[in-house]
Amino acid sequence: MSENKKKRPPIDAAFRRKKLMGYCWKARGSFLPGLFFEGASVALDLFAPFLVAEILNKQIQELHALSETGRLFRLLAIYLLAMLFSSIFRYASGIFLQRSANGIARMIQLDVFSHLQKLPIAYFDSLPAGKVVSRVTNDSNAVKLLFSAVLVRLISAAIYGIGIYLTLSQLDLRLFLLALLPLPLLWLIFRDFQKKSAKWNYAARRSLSELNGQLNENIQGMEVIQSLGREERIASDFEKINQENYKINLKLTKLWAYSAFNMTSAFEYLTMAAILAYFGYGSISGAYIVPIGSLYLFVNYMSRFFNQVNQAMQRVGDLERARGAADHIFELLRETPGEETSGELEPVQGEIDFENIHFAYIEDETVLNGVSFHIPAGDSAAFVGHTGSGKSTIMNLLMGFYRPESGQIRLDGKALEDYPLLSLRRQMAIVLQDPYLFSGTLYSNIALGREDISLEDAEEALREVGGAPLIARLKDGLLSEVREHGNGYSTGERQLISFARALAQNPRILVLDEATANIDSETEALIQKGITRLGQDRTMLLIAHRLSTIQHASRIYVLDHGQIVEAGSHDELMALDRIYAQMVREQSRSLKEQPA
Amino acid sequence: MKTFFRQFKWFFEHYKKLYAIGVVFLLINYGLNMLPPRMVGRVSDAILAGQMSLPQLWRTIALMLLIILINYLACYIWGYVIYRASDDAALISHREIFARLLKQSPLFYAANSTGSIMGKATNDVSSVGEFLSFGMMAIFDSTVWPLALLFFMLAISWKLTLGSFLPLPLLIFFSRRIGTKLYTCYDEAQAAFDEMNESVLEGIAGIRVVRAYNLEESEKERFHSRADQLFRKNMRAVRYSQMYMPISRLVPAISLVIALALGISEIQAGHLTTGGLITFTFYLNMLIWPMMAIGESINTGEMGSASMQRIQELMDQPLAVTDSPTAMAMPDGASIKVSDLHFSYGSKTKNPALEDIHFELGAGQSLGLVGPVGSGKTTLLRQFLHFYPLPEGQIEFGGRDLARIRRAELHHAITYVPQNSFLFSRSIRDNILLGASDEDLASGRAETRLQEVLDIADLRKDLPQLPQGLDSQAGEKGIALSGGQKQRICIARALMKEDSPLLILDDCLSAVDAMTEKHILDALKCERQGKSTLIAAHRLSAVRSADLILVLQEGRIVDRGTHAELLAHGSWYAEQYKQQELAEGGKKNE
Repeated sequence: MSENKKKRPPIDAAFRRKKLMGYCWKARGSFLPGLFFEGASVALDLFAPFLVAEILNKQIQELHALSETGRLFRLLAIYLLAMLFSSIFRYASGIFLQRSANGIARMIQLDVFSHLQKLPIAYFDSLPAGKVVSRVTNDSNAVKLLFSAVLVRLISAAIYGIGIYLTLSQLDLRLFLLALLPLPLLWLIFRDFQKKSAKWNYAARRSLSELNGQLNENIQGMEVIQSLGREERIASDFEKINQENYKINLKLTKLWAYSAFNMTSAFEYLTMAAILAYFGYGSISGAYIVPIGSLYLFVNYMSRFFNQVNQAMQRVGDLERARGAADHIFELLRETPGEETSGELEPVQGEIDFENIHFAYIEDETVLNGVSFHIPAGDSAAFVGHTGSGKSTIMNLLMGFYRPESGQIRLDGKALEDYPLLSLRRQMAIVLQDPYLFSGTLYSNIALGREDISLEDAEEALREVGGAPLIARLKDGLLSEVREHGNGYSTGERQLISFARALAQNPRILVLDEATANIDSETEALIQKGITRLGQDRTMLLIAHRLSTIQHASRIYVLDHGQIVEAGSHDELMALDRIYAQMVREQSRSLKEQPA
Repeated sequence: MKTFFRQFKWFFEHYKKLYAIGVVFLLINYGLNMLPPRMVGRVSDAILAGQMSLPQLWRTIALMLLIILINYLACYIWGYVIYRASDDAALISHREIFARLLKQSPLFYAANSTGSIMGKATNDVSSVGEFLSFGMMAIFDSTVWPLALLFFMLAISWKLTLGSFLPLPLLIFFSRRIGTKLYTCYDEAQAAFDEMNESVLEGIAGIRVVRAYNLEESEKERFHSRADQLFRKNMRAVRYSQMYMPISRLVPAISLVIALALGISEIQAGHLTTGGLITFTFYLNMLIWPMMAIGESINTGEMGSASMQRIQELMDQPLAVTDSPTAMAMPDGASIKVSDLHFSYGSKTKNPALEDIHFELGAGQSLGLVGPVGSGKTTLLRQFLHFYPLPEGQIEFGGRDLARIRRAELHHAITYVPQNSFLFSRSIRDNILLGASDEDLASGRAETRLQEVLDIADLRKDLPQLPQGLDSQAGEKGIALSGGQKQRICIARALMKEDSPLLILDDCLSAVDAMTEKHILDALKCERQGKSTLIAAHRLSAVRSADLILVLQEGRIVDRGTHAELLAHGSWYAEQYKQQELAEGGKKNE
């Protein structure tokens, strides 16, 4: 626990690069062929214009040579062939590189997900579920973009650039120098674009998600808005965000208008002017000779180069986001997994001891402050207290979701940490305040993948906890579909299903955490029967808000500010006439008191 | 085509001036684009023929630079103006959609899920914007631009033009085919992504169950298959998307070969100059994009049109309730008379939600509504807010037919706390102040009232425990508030409206403890002397002191009377009372 509390340093660039390189290396099977084909395609792309230049030169210099049209057609055929292979190679490189990017995304997804399965529960308490999900899905997608779009484009632009300048330097040193001229300016424009697009893209995403959030929220709160008659005020609040979003998008639109494609196409024309001046001056003054083919070649090369720069610009705005996403992912992967083991384990008896347990979720905010109790095997104990008194923490500790800071938890007289935790949990079951259902069928939700629980077993379990009316209601019985979050089943029904789930697993220890909090009294009566059935033959811990559900527990512990302040049976505690008795009275007063 | 333009008429009318400017500069851009390649060709010919002097060369270059500069400015202007259309379209659509949403009734929200509305307000709005900006440009780029090019190319040589144009329709064909394929592939990939998202969310939200029942391995397997599925779908899309580049290279290469072969023979025949051929190859290169643009403009046009239709359908859904032209002002007084009220959520539901409801309540009296879940309590209460269509003569409020009272005034006259304690993502203070009128906010009365409602809703005792007191953030991203705290904030918010003749509490005390419930009900009784109150509740303690209690079951009144009378009836009410009394642990407390 304590090592998780320390603030970890942010991911540094070298570490990120190393990690990303690592994934790249794992995807080398498709990454390297991708690079190879990319290179081959670029080489052919640069070779083909040579043939055209050759044709143009020949046409000027040796007019008669062209009468041997056989040579002309040979050149044209080679040109076409070169372009054909360049296209095939380009397609192959596209497929391979995208394959590696998607493969990397998949690897990251699997790594993150299986790492999540090992992280201590504390991690999930510190981060909302939506954010955790986003690490697995959205962030891996953004990193995929880093590879597929950004990196591939940048690599391709670099290969092109190198190829073009290398060829020019071999061809004509002066042309090479001429081609170098626009580079500094282009670099400045590129940087300007990169900086601004990163900044405003981020702002635009933020403002859009703000706008969507507002819209979403207002739709959900529409009843409130309308009944308060606040339509105009809400509309004007929304308009502010709408305007804000508009302004940021205008900035982006302006950026795209003055930079990116319009800018590189202006550069293309400038190149034409420059080569024309160079060619013209040489020819007219006679200072040097430039073959007309070189003019074609130069314009062709430079326009390819600018095209690449343009494409790289289109993507460079995503670089920042991908970097952020990668950091999120690596931060998650850096979290230390819990040490949970499995191993052979005989069925436990279920005798539980807490001895002087201290615990805090956040440093200096003590939740349990010296809690001790003893529950004999097969007995039932209840924990009551106000919100924040530490009731649920007892369950978290017993399940091994958290470790106590000091003190010892013993099961059958043996320290809890000496048990193989995963195997031990197989003998425990919990029913949570929010009865969680997975999508699948009722049966799959009760059996939870255990093959030794048959359909009949599951149905019997559901009947035993009082689910007969539910089974009768459903056309397909236990094979009825359960959709995401158990939509379509009432809270009470979901609770019954989770009871049946616990019963079917036949645990030695059962924990009910506020299992009856959100249920009307009719359903509660039904569930009460289920609880009684569940409590047979096993140790049961009840954590409850409604005092009616725990009256039958053999021992009731009253928690206050992390300490047990009262303990005893219902009758004993009522006789004691202190906190518990007061709570009972409070809950009943509203009914007993006659109207004034 | 006609319907197409009618669909977007709203925007064309709004944006026509800017579009006109954009198109003018786009045309200037087209024209100027033709010049540099032409100049290169002309100058080459002149130089090769030895007919150009250095000053002439420099003049030409200077002219060319000027053209490039003007051209860049023209590009900037049309680029800004035409692409801005998508920003403007988003601004207007968001505004109008939201304005419409504010007028819709709960019936509309029952028929349209939040997700589907959000989809229209986000994805559809952006694809409409895409069409109105990029799509509009693509339409010009795929029509006017190639025609202009064609004209200039014909001027060089009709033979070359004819020959090199032959393969180009292939580009149109392929880009269109790939585009439609990709569209479905991306859809499938997105669906696979959403599925993965959903499955991860499920696993994370249920992580305690996963851990407690050792489901880690099966969760991993489940996720593995989702990730594989996503990979496959993405790769399927890649197979098509990667075709664009090679095809946009290969087809023009064929054109170029034809142009060169024809060109050389034309030069030999003396019909063409070398410079002319060079200019021609540049033009040929410029033709690649317009050919692709034909496919693109059709695709974005189709998508934009489909999106616009979805948005239009949303906007065209009729308002369930509107003020009739003869609507009247809110009368004084708060007596209520409900006679023979029937209500059904629509023809699809078999059983009416409310049937044969009738009761009377004098001004200043209170009504309690009880009954099992789904018995119609909320539906009945919402009738008073006129959220649903209401036939005339079924509810009288203050002696006037409620259906004929102007709704804005009606809402002003009613203080309503809904069952779902919804808080906005603002501070608790701002949530409560949302209940204050503009006048109260301006006069400073709102601040004083805020202090009063904190006491009535029994919220003051909670403030010291909140990290920033009243200024703590509520809502989705805010601090964790208990159900009871949320309910009490909602009550405080509603009570900011003072002196309303009718208060409606829809089971909004279910999560507060018994003591607090009593505090609030007592304070309300004190504050609202002589005003009417309607309370629906599960916990009978909340309605016990009501002047009249109605027991609803399946939309009908099955029992009525005061607390004492109902107990004497010995029916559902008495049974519930006994059960709750027992549940609350009363039996030992005699």
